[in-house]
Order: sequence, then C-alpha cells, then structure tokens
Amino acid sequence: MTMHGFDELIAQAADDSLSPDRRRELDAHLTACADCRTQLAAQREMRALLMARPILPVRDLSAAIRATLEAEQPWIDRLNINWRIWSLRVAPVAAAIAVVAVLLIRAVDTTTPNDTAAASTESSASVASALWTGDVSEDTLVTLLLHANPEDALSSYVSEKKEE
Amino acid sequence: MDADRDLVTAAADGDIVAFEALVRRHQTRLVGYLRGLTNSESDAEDLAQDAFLRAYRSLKGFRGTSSFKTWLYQIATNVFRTWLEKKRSHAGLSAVSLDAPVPGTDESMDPVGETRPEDRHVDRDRIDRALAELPAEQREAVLLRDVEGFDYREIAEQLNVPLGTVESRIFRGRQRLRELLR
Repeated sequence: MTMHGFDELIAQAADDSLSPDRRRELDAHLTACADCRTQLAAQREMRALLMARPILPVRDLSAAIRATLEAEQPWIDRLNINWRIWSLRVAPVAAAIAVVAVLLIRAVDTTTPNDTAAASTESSASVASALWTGDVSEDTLVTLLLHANPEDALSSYVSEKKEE
Repeated sequence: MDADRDLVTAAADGDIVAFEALVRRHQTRLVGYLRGLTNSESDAEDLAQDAFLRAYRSLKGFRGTSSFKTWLYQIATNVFRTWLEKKRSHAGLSAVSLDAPVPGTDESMDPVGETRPEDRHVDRDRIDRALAELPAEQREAVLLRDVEGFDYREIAEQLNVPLGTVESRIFRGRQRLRELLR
C-alpha cells in the first residue's frame, strides 16, 4: 500500500484508463511523491508482463459441448429444424397460395350472371321469410321437398300464397 | 455492437450449431482465463465446459445489457468460485473465503523462480504459479483487466462489486504479484 490514498488512481494510470481530471490530480501528487512514482512503475511493469502472458491453444471443447446439449434436447429439437428460416421460406409460398385462391374465387363469381344471382338471392330470401313466418305448413313443406325441383316448387308456392 | 449478437440470438432459439460457433470463438481465451484462476489445464477445461453449458441453458434469460463475452466470463467466474469452495471444503478448510490462494492444484506449487521478470522472456508457467498465490478475488480482477482486457466497469459488473473495489483489487493484485515474481 502507498498509504497516500492514491492506489486506485495509480492502478488506472498504469493502464491509461484515468480520466483527464483524475490524471491531473494524480500527476500533482506524483511530482512530490517518489513512493507513488515507484508504485506506478511497478504497476505498469506487472501489467505489461500479464499482457504478454502467452495464450496457448486449447483442446476443442465444442464437440463435447454439442453432444451434451443434443442429448438434453427434446426429440423435436433434435431434428435440427431452424424454425425461423423455415417460417421465412414458407411464408412466400403461403402468400402465393392465398393469391391463387382469391383469383379462383373471383373467376367463379364472374361466370355467374349477376341478374340470375340476384333473382336467386331474392327467391331464397322470400322462401326463408315464408318458412319463418309460418306461411308454409310442415306437411306442405315435406310435399314440396319431394318435388323434382324443390326450390322452384317452394318459390312458386310462396308466391301463390302471397297473391292470395 | 456485440459481434456475437446474431449467433447469440440463433443459439437462444435452440440453434446448437450457432452456439458451437460461439464456443469455438471464445474457448481459447476462456480456458486461458480459467487456467490463470485454477493453475490447472485440466480443471480449466472442465470449468470452461461447465460455463459454456450453463451459458447455453441460461441464454433465454440473457438480456443483452452487456456483451455476451462479459456475461460469459461472469458465469465462468461463478463456476470457478463454486469449484474453489468445493476444493476448499474437500481440503478440510471450513472457512470459505476468496481471500486465499488455490490449495493443491495438479500443477507444481514450487516457489516461483528467483529471476526478475524483466531479465527473462515471459514464462507463462511461472506467471501462473505466482497468480495462484494471489487471493482469488485479486486474481480474478487482475486477469480480467490485464489479460482479458475488460474495462473497470465491466469487471465491476462481472464481480458484482463497486468500481472502487475493482481498482483496489487490481492495485493490490499487481503489487503482490510483483513481490512473488521478484
């Protein structure tokens, strides 16, 4: 210990990580303190020695670590599917399928004449209304359903009932 | 920016190949750090492997507020401390303290040589034997600063101590090391 309260500053000064303000504070002390100058030199010497400590090659640990982790994994994860990449690859295909489906539906719509579709919708609505309001009895309904074309027969029956 | 970020993200999603790449990237220095702490090559490798496995299992909890390397070394330091406690416990030392050298490693514990370090080329084994004589808390701080190059704030985070404590440990660690290497 230097006993001068500058240990921390000296440690940081030895590796040039002192802020300018703290460096000035230390320099002011060092000009008058030979002990602390010696300490600073010793700290620098040890830092240089440690920085020069050779880093030796080591045995590759990755294979052993991989084997341990794979043994811990649930079976689904062992398939090694990268779900992030898999999702990104499938997304454009799904989008293409959706576009084709929309185009097909539109193509079917355009082959149905609008007026026929409107008449069919109106007829269906009136039949539904008649059934709801009780204008068609259950027995009549069964008879009409046994007809060759039950929807037309039901529409005609409802229209006649309305005219009455 | 953390150079490991993409690999860490992939590994956190369970990509073992990405984690393997992280292991290969950091293993040499991490084993070197643990070699400095334990004074044993075989223990250093075992502890590094343990640290990597713990890191992988905890990756989902890694918030990325520090770099992956800082976080990995924090885990490795904790693994070392647990190992040290067990070692001391087996050695029959009831008081578990970091303020003592490593007992009975598998390396030679002969006194360090008489030659002054500035008079000879760097002898790694000699430095490591001297490091093993330092109290563990000083050894950690000195290695993290002077060998691994972490800044003081990162070391304070890794060791979970105030900045002033890190400065003090580094100062005293270097001072003691110099006495041992004389």
